Amino acid sequence: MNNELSKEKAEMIFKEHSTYVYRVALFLTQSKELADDITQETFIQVFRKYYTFDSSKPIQPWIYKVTLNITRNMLRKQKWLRFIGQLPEKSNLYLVENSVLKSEEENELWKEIINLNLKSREVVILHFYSGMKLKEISDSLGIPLGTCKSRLNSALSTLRGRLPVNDFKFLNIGGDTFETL
Amino acid sequence: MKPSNSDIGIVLEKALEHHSQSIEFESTWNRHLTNNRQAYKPKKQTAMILVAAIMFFAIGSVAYAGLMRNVDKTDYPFINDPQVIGKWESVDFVEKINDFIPGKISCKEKLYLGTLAFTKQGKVLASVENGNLAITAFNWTKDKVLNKQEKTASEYLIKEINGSTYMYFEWKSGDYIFRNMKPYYYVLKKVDSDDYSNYKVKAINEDKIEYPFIDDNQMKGKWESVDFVKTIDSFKPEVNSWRGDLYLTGLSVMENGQLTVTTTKGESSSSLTWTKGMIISRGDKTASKCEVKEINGTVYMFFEWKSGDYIYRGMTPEYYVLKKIE
Repeated sequence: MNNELSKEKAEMIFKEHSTYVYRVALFLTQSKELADDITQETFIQVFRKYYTFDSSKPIQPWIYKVTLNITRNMLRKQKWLRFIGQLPEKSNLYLVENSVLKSEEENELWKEIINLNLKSREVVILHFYSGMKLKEISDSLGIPLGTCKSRLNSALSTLRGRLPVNDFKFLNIGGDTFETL
Repeated sequence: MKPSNSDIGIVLEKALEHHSQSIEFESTWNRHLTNNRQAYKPKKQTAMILVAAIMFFAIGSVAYAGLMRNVDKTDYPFINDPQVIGKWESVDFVEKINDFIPGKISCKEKLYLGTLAFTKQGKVLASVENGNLAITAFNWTKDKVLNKQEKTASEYLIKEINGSTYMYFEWKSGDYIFRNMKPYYYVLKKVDSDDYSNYKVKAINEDKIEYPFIDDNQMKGKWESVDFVKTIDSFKPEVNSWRGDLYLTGLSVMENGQLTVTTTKGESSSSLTWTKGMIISRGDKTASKCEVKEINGTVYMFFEWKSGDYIYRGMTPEYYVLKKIE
């Protein structure tokens, strides 16, 4: 694999993917500071390891794999710092301004989505926001496709349980109908 | 990257669209270059010292962890406790027993342990993260839950509070075993007093096991376990990934698909059979990959370990690494 990375190419990759990487990291960590750190670390690692990347494959799942690993490590570090009392209790949580989500239903849904556990949030953001297929998500997360489907179904079941009265049709769709490959 | 049109996709897009990073390409690229310069131009002597220090630290950490890990006494005789028989559902995870207030959950995260079921025969079934009840390595006796493999003995305490029965279960995970941290307590509420001895555990994974026998001289011989790793690629001969004892200690791969297994519980002429590239368990209905590789002049076998975690909990199997000794 001869994958030399020029500055121009690196800039192109950064411009195309950095905003989405940032938003995924922000969604998972709920901290702007952490999301910035994660975004920079992601691209430093992507640039460093670009020579190992098979350019015949799509780059997005690979970039997100790096993002998720770094995010998990950062969150683990945050937990440890909190445990030993070296982190202020209030971290930089971001809140969606009321004006962005117009309807009551959308607000309810948003609140429940951000309250899902980390594993559920990972599959939800990659599938519904980044538009990745389940096979790509399972590659990014390093988990079997079955586990990926199961996590997505679990997330939707949780949302279904917490949002009983709604018009969200997607909650009634089984996991098998999601595009996998 | 076009977000999906589903309602979730729309909500996520709306909620996130006004957010973008404050870091810029130039600073990221410069940091990348700085890191590379530092990586590529160490003095040879400095590099050697660094490598030696890292190896010393790595080996020392593993040895320290192995020696200094917490080991509980687990050879207790079975004493019955009728109160504990039945199913218990976790409701909280607390630092101290007195922290628990019924109706008020102190743990902010989703509880990993879902349910425990104690049987009359001294076994414990468990479910984690909304999964089904599955067999565990735990046994119980009055006031204690024992794991002979992990060498832990967790205390449990049953209390009646406001008309409900609760159990405080000491959670001895890796944090206790290897990092000497004080265990927290799962608080579980009693659901029923049924005996789950005959409970049919649902298998999530069942493999195809009908394969013809294909001989393979590379696989035949005596093998000794040296490590347990997440993936084949993560194995490094000079560093042990697994800190505890290795349950599987060796394999003897013989003619015509015959196999004997040695574990910490002793040798068994097992119901396992083998064929080229695979070890099959008819009892568990699993077919595990076996890959033989030579690394730095030594022949290793990577044996995909399909235990209860794979069969009943749907987890990705990890690998025993065995070294050929004969």
